Amino acid sequence: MTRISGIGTYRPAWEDGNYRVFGPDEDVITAAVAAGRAALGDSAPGGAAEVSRVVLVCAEPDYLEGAPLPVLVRGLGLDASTAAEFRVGGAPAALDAAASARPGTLVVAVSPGRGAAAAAVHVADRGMLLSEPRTVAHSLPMRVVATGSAEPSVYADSRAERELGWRPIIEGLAGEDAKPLIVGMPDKEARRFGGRGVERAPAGAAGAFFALVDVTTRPEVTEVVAVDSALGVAVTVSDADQARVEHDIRPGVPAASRPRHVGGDVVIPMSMPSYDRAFEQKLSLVASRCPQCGVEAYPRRERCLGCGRMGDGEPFALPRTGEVYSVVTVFAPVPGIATPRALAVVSLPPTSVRVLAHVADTAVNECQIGDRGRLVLRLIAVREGVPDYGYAFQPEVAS
Amino acid sequence: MRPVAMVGAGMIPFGELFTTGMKEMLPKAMAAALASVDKGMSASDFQAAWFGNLQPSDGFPAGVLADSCGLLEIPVTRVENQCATGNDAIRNAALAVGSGQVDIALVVGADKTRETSAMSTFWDWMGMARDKAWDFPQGLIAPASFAMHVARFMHEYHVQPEHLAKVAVKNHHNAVTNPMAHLRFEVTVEQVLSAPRVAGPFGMLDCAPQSDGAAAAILVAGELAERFTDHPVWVRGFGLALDRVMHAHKQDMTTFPSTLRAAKQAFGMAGVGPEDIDVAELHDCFSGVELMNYEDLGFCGRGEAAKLIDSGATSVGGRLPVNPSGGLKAKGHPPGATGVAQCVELFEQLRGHAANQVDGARWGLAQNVGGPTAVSAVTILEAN
Repeated sequence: MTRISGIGTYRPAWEDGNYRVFGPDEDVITAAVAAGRAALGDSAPGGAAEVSRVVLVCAEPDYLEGAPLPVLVRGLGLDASTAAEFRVGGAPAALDAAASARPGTLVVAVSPGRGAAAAAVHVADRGMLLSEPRTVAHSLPMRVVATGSAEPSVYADSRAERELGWRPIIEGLAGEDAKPLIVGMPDKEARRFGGRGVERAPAGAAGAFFALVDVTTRPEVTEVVAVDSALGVAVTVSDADQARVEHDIRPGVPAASRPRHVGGDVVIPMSMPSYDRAFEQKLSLVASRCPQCGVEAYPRRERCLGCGRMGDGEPFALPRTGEVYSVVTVFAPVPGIATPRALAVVSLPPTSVRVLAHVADTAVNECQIGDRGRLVLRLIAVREGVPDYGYAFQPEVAS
Repeated sequence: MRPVAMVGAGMIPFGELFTTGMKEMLPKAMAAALASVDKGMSASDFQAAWFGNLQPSDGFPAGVLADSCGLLEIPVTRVENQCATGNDAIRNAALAVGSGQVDIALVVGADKTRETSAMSTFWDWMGMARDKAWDFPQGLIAPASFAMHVARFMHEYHVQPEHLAKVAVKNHHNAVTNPMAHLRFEVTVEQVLSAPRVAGPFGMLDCAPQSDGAAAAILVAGELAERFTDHPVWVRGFGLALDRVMHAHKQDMTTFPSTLRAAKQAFGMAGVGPEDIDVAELHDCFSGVELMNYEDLGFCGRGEAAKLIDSGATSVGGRLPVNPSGGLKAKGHPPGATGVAQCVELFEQLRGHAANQVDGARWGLAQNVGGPTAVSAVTILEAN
């Protein structure tokens, strides 16, 4: 059994009809960071201190090898020694990962694509109790996604899916709650099985944790079931009100005004040594202060601007909130960069540091000098196939 | 330093010169400068040459200049200092002549911005001027880099888009009668304001074109000047200064500190002040940048640039005509050539036969600001 102290959810700001969709600067990793920070309580740094392992669950990762897991760890504000693993799967895999994790684990589930969302649970020694995890492995490959293929192969027969796919799983998992919360199928189907669905739960991995959020407001529910075409996982839930829930979900912005790649194909040059030199400072937002005269530098400088002292200064974490000093929207198509998008110089008081960052999640010309907001991890550019992450400025929205 | 005189200066018309390569542009620019020497001069008279060039084309710059112009017997040095390249090349040549080591020096500036595909140009140029890890992947293209300053400038001093548009209108007007100019057509304030947007407050018509072009000037020791002309122009002052390279490190974006520093050097050397200048060629790569330059050079006080353009003082016929050539905005902007071409215009102004002549001009000033707004050069010339 495990306990969950915090649950965080994230949906992108861009709204396409009834669905949220990623912006061009978002992917599985950036969404995972957003949900993970919400689960840890972005404002409470103590949360991150309790995490020694991160599990990322997703059925459609953007990258299988390379930067993403280290970027995820840095983006979450965790120590570089934090173990991170990637698990391919949907909602049952996410629920199983949460129910079988040791305290000190952050499990993040991401559902990319249409209706994109991410959700994370912080497994700790206190909070909502998940017990008696049960699993039924079952194979009815109604939906098959081959690696590298753009479209899934779908066997379109909803009755076959219900009777041959879901029914054996649900019956195999039958627990004490007569009306379990079921994710992985439409509400209508969940009701046929005597359960109930989760309103507006995203398809895929993140759905499992949106179900747990639902449980925190429904004391009568004691069981959560997650299914897909390969697996069913059920857990018994109690003390649901003891999990802190934080949503990082902003008012929708019409997806039609998203920046777009219009400049044609181009390979943006990459320098691996320069990437490496900047990595920790950039991804962990660590600046440097001169021990002799106190002048701050970001990125670090070999020679202090204030007193000329040579060598490393004292590292310090930059604040993640700031104010726009100047901002311009770039309308001209820049090959490899989605436009129109705004670039801003952002002050980070009380430090003297400013950063250059693109403006995220905001319609054209909406961001103005003096606007306040926060820095969020985003994909800056893809350079010679390598995703280059950094921080974007996300203006506050009137609540 | 001994006095340095400019005895010849010429250029080829700027434009999208698809049919003229670097190796054709350079000898044509040199020939234009030689042709302007009143009493004649030949290429074999040069003792050293400096070549201002940002983006090499068809080979390494110094070699291409020496080879295409037949300057194999003399030292040729390439100068690259972003958009301040042209005036920095003149500064280097003037230092050599002033020192007594060189009596007759050639300065050429040239670039072929249209030689690579429009797609790759952005990244090629940003790659030269931006930190590879930090600013480069942000796609901070030149218009955005300057717009960031002008947006803050407009915010602090309540400058209106119309004030920016007036710069474009004025400089386009001047270019119409300049046969060397790239964009020889008038524009109206309304056209500028309604043009497709590029970045921040800049629309298409606020931006200098991407031009190909070359310009050349000939500097000689003062005591030799009368061998070549009775109407030399004197190189009285020059300055070259830098600033923080990354935008996040610029404390006050309503000014270009590199221009303040370069102007202080140049005015100090020439022994004159901004009030003495009769005609100026300023760096108007984007309309609003000309307004900021007025203030940085002391042509008006802080926050008074909008009033100055409104007054008409910087139009030809005004108190201090700025960019009578059409400026970068309309004459064109092949970066390595730009500063040299500004001095070609001043050479003609101070000798009294410019296309848009400023009556009785005695002191002329040329200024560039460039890179990621981190380098400026100022040259001050005086009529004989």
